[in-house]
Amino acid sequence: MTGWKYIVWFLLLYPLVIIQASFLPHLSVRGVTPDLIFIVIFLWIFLFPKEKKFIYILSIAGGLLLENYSILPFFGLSVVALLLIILLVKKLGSVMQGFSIFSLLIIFSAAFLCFKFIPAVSAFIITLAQKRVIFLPLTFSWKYLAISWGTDLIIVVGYFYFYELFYKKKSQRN
Amino acid sequence: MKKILKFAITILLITGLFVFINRFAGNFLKNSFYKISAPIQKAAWKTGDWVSDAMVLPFRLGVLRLEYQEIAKQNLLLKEEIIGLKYLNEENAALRAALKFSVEQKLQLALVNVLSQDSQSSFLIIDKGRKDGLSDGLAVVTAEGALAGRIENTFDDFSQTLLITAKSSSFDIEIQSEEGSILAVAKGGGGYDLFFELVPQDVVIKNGDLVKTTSLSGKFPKNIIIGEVAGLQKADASSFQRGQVIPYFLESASNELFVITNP
Repeated sequence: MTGWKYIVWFLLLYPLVIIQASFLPHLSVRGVTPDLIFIVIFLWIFLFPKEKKFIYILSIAGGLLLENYSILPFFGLSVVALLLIILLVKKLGSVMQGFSIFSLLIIFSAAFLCFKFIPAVSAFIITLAQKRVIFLPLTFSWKYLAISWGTDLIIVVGYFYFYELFYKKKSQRN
Repeated sequence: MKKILKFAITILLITGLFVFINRFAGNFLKNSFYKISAPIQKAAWKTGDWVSDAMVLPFRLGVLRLEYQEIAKQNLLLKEEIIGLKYLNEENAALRAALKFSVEQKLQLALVNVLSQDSQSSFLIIDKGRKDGLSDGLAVVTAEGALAGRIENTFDDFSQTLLITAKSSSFDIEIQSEEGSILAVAKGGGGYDLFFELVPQDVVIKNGDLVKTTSLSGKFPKNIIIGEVAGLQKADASSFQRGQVIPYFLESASNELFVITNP
C-alpha cells in the first residue's frame, strides 16, 4: 500500500504542476496563480507531520517538478526550499501545539516566505560567488507577493476546514 | 551519532547530485521535461483560455456593447484618416523615389506556441528553441505586433521568455506625445504592471500616448509597439515623472506569439 501511495501522489503532482503552469494562468488574479505544489506539500507537513519519509520524498518530487518552471539559473533550489520548509513547519508545529486557524496562519506565512525567498536568496549568494549577481529587489514585487500569499492562503484555509470537518465526522463515527 | 552521519551523507549526496545536474544536465532535463509535457501543456493552455473566455463572457456583455460603439466611432474617424493618408502616401512614394530611399527592412518572424507561465507572470515557456534557430535576447511579439518579452533562456526545443511586465525587466522606450518623441525607461512591476520612468517633469505626457521600443540599448528592435500611457505620477520632490503603461500584449487573445529572428 505504501509503495502505491508514492506512485499515486507523484502521479497527482504531475497534473497539478501542469494545471498550475498551463491552465490557471488564464484564471489568474492580476497575473498571479496559486502555488498548488507548495500548497499540497505544506498541507501534508502540517496535517500529517508523522509521515516523515513520505513527506521528504514528496517534497523532492514536487521540487523537481517546480524546477522546470523556475527562471533562476540553478537547478535544485526549489527542492532545497521545500526540504527546509519541512524542517521549519515541524519546528513551528512542535512549538505551537495543536491544529488551530491561528497556528495555521503563522506557520503557513512563515513557510510561504521561505518558499518564495529561499530560492532567490540562494541564487543571490551563488551568483555573488560567480560575480554575476541577481539582485533580490529585481525579482520581487511586494504587491504580487501579497496577492500570491492571499490566494494560496484561501486554498489552504478552505482545505483546512474541509479536513477538520471530514476528520471530526470520521472520529465521531469511530 | 549514527543518525547525524546518515543525515550528513544524505545532504552530501543531494548536494553532489545538484552540482552534477547544474554542470552537465540542467538544460537537458528541462528540455526533456518540456518535450514530454508539451502536448498536455498545449491542450491545458488552450482549455484554460477557453474556460476563462466562457467564464468572463456573461460579465462582459455590457462592456462589449460599449466597446463596440466606441470601435464603430473610431472606425469612422479612421476612414477619414485613410483618405488623408492616401494623399500622403502618394507624396511619400514620390519623395522616396527622389531621395532613393532603401526599402525598409522587413522583420523575420518565427511562430511559437505558449505552453505555460510561472505563478507570478514573469515568464512564458514557448515551444521552440535552439534547434529552431532561436537564441537568447530575441524579441517576442504578439500576432498584432505588440511587444511581449524577450527570450532569456534557450533549450534545444523550448525557450523561456521573460515578459516585459516581469519585475526584473527593464529597457529603453520612446513615448510619442504631442511634443514629439520622449525617451524613457520602462520597468516591469510584476504581474500585469509596466511603468515608465526618467521622464523630466516639464515634459507633457497624456494618458493614451503610445509607447514604442527604441534600439538604444540594443535589447529590442526599434519601433515595436508596447502599449499606451495609462496613469501619471508626478512627485514634487523628484525631477522626473513616472507612470503606468498598459501593455497591449495582455489584450491579445491568441495562444500564438512570434519571435523576431533578425533583430
